[in-house]
Amino acid sequence: MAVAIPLEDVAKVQDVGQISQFTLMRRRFMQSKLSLFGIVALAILYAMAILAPFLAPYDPTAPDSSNILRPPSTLAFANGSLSVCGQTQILNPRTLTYHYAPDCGKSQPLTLFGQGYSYKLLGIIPANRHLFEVNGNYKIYLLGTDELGRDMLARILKGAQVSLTVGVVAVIITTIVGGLLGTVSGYFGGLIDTVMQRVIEFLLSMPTLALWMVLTAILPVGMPIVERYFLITLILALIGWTGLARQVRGKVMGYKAQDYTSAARLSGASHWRIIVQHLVPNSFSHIVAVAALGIPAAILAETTLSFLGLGMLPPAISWGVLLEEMQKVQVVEQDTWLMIPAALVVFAVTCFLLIGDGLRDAVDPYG
Amino acid sequence: MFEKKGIERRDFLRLSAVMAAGTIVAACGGNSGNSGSGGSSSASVTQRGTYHITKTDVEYIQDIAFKGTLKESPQLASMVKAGQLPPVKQRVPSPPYVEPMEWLVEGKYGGSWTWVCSDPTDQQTSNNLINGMYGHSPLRWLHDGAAIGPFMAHSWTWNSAFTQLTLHFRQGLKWSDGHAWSVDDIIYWWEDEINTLPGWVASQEFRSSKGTPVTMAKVDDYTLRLEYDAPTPLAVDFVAMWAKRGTSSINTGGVGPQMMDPKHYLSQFHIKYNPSLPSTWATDYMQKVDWLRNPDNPTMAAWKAKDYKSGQYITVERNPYFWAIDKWGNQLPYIDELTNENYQDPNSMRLAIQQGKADFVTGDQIGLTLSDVSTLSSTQGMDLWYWDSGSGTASMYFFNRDYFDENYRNLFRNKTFQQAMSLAYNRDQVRKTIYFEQGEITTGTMSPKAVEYHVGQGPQIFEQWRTQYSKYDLTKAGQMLDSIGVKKNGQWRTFADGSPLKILIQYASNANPADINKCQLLASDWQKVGINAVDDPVQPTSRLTLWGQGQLMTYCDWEVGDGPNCLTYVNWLVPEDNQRWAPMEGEWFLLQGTPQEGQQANLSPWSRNPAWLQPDAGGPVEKLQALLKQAVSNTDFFKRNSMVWEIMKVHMEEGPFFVGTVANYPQVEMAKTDLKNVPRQNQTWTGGFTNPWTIVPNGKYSPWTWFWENPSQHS
Amino acid sequence: MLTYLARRLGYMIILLWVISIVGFWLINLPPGTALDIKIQQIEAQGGTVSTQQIQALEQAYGLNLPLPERYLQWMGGVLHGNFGQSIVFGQPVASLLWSRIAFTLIIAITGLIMAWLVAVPIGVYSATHRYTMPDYVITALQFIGVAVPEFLLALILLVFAADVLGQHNIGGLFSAQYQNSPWSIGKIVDFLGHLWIPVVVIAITSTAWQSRVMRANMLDVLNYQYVQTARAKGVRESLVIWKHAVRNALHPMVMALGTQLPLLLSGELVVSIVLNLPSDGPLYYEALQNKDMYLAMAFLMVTAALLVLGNLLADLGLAWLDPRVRLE
Repeated sequence: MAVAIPLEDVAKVQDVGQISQFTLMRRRFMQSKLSLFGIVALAILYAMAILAPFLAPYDPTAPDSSNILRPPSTLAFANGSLSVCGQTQILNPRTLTYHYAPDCGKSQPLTLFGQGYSYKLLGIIPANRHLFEVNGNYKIYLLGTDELGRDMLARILKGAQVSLTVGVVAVIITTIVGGLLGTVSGYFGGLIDTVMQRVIEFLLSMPTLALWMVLTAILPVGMPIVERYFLITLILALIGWTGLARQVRGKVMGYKAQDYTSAARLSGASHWRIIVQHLVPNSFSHIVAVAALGIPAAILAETTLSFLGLGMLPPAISWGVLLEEMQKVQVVEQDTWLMIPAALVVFAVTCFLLIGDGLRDAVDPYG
Repeated sequence: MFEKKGIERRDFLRLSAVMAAGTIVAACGGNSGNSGSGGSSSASVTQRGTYHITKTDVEYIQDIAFKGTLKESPQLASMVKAGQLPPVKQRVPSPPYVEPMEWLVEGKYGGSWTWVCSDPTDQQTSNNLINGMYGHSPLRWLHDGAAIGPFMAHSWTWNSAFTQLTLHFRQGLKWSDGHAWSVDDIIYWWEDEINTLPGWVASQEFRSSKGTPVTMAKVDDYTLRLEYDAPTPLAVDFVAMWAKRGTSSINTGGVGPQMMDPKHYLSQFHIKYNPSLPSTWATDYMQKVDWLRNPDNPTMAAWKAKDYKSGQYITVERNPYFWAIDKWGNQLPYIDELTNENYQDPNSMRLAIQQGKADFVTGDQIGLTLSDVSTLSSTQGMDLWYWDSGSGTASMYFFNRDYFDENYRNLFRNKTFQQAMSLAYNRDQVRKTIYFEQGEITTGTMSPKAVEYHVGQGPQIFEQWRTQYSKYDLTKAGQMLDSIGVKKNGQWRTFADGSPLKILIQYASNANPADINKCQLLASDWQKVGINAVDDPVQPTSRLTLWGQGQLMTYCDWEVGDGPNCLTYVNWLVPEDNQRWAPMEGEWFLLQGTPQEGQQANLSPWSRNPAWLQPDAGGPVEKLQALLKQAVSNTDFFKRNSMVWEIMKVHMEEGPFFVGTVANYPQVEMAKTDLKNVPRQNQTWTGGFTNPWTIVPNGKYSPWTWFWENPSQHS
Repeated sequence: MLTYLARRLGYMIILLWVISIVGFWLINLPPGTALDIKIQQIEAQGGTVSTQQIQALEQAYGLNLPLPERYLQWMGGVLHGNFGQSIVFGQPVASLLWSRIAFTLIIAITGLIMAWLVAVPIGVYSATHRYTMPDYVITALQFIGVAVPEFLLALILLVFAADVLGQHNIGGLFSAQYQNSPWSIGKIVDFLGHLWIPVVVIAITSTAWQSRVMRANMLDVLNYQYVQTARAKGVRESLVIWKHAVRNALHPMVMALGTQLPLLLSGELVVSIVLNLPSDGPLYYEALQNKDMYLAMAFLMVTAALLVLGNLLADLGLAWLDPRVRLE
């Protein structure tokens, strides 16, 4: 394959005019190193989310009062294997904080693939093996614990399961509806456009914040939080397409005035053909740019809504919930390990953005 | 005025109290060693405190006479010199009120100080100040609620039937604008504001034991007679309760009912006195009546309104006509100006405290918890200490006895189920995780500081109730659940008939993080006993309505807040409103004797509006409500107490109806080190009693006596 | 042109009316009222509210009326310029809104100016220098800027300013001593000392979005024939970029600006809450949270009006920028 690369390079230069647009797009996308990095990193992240209960030794919801706000465990090499140091919990009566004095004289080696709490992988396969475990009274918290003594590693991974998936469907709906309606509106103009614009204006003026509050209040009591959240994002997706539609309309109105559209029209092309052949591809880069930013925006929105008390709430575990829990002076000043979820949010969103950026460049392969 | 019938018992008690002054009798309930929690470090923070109760009643304190020369702030003295203000002798009443606190030292005039709070609705901004000033109450609580003393009134007398309470006010009291105060200002509020202004109705505190509103008779400018249609022995407590002047549109605003308003100022905005006002006069009136946001509206409190910015701060300044002095003759307050800063976000408030922007931090009022100690304890230049909360439960839960689903309702009414669920609750874990090993484990009682627990068989009843179902015992809990047919079927326990059982642990979605954490611990505990328990945050706006209609199962983010005695704030003991553990039976009690009584009887109780449900004959709620009716009108303190004990016994035999975690955990307080006369825990009478707003947080420690060691550094 | 304007204005009024009905209905949809919240606060603090009192209050605020009647009553007030009373704050809605409008505008406009001043040049630069090292660095930084949750960044900056920089004037917009004083040099310095944190937060988070959009638009436009033609004709590159390309690339941004007008009122909500800025955003949020319906409705209507107006302005602006777009 080592020879193939220059060959391909040569080929690329020569066949630009012949190969399909899709191939061209893929090739352009592969060129962008940052986007590739994003893809790989996200793939790993999603894999970790799927394997969450296997990778984490403890139940993300199990409290443990003898390990409240415990910093990440100290590891040491003892007897030739990686071990966890023993720690004693002491309450400082002046500051009312629990301290953990590590005692590496006593330590317990890590066990790989040991048995721990039972779980269902992917929600179906029952299992109780975990990647690593510590026996006896020792506990291993690679990322520390929270206020209730719950394992942050387990919580972060569990949160990833929710946060990386829950907003995606809504973004897809938004993009398809918005892109299509925007193009139609911009292209036909006249009555269709007027009606569409009024509908869009109406929907745009619908107060999203108020809708969130109303929806959370009228959905039945006792409905699981994640389901409730998912349902609300779907409902709001049905009115959330308007922003994109307006932007696309603006673009299409510009293209419509250009020569090639008039030429196509004069040569007897149908409206549908003009839209699909000329207008959609032209505004596609904009649609993709907006949509690709939509998924990370959905992840961020989830965190912001949790901050406002409208999104996911405890006992549900999502990145938004974890971030809300760390939104404290105490965490920023003292319990800094609780900020790890924030770093992960930033990382995941950045990866999505890099991919989106690569996509945007790729759909415009002649540039 | 006073019917002759030998020496009145209360009068006698008052005399004996004076003689007994200085004798300190140790508390009856001080033996906290057997809580079984074993937290060794806790002793440094929590003690149950000692009581100064010397006898069997709330103690009455007499006015202190003053015979020295009056002194005043240099700022005011120069105004007097310039002829802008009458001399201090004409500004304070006769007799002036002399602050009785034992810990006071003579202070220095001057300086300004800042308090903080965090409330986006701006309510706490004024509430902090109202509670801190307490300046409109005829009588006041002392000794952390164990005693009542004179305040604006120098004395009071009962008739023998306890139907007429006469209040004798200090001659020459003046509003902060210099206008003379008289009992007309009270009557103006009672007759022209109550039932006229939107939402202003006669509150419980101004009704007889039968529920009829009081009649107010003016004897002279400084004497007021409250006339009840039935013996109302608790009226003195009611008159002392609350800060007595709210500011909010709904009159109570969380600080209780008020008792006066300046007629000379407000009547010009009242349609009765100024018929030329437009029909929307009441809306404008509501703006004028807010004495902390409207500087034109005078006050009787130590400081008067100066400046206000919506959502940001309220500043108040010295009231030159304030009627209290210390025993050295200094007219109070010592400090010139007080600002309460409001922060939208609690985190920025915490940072501000850390940076030393607050001079006094009243943690119990502004939502600081023990978990904040770690960030705030090292704040430079500030002391951090604790006052007892006096809470009987700390964060607690209770089931809705009137839940609409019959299967669940029967379960929630089953005492074996209630007891089993309490036993399945690992309170040690809560105590360690949320209260940092402070406070003592409890089943959930009324406040350990309640007077009824400190006399007669009170201490035993308290101890028995406290320990009754507080021990964590999974095996026993499981057996008890089995015994009522709630048995394991697969992963979870089911109803006796095999239908699935799922307990929703409900709390407001914007509840305090400590409460939410506690609810999560509760869910995991109950899951361990095989109950499918799930946390379920509820939208706060819908909460109250749904709860009152029996649509919600559990309430997990409340705390028993009660007065210094159980009958003045009784709704946790006896269902008498629609918000607690038996909401619809409480509603039924409320509707008794009103036109709405018995209406919509043909509908299902859960479709009625308001939703009421008659208590089962012979059931605990009926017993409790009957006992309450007898108790409030009984003029004999001893008999009243024994009825309260009877009420508690119903809870112990047929409950628990509300289930607590730890009692009397400490609340965080902070002050600058050079702010003096702020009592520390060992200086206050019983170690503090911050939770009930009825005995007025901070106000009961007279912040107008506090002063700066170096006023010039705090201008 | 005038008929066009008249027609649009007509639409606007109808639209606002429809929104007022739908909004009113929506806000009243969930069970419970603002009084519930108040009562709960009172009860939680150990107060009591009797049923009579609740009924009296419901009557005072018209909460006991059927919904249509309540709507008509409210609408009648609005047409006379009376937006009603806030139930939670106990003050007239209008005075509550106005008391915070100055800071709201300062924050929003500063944010907007920052966004355009920073985003447009960066977007242009990074589009014209695509696949160079500076573009990569800008891209990476911007993405991280986009990726950081605003509330978190605000808190971290706040703690950083307080603990590391030892800055004492954080949170809010003025220190205590300047809160009530007339404008002076000291007050301005103090104000700027407070302002930098919100401005940095806004600049980092929202500018990044804007500049990405600008970059994308620029890349689109640079492919157009007229740009190529201009280049072929030998027009100076900087002239090509700034005169021909940028002008056209701004169109979608102008469109977006219209939709951003309502943000003047409720934007920077999160930043305002965390940084304790006394703006209208947190007020709006509280109104919704507490179901303080007259206050919430006022916000809703003003926001909707700004939005509709913004759309109109955007269309007019587009016509002015791009002669190809005709208004009919």
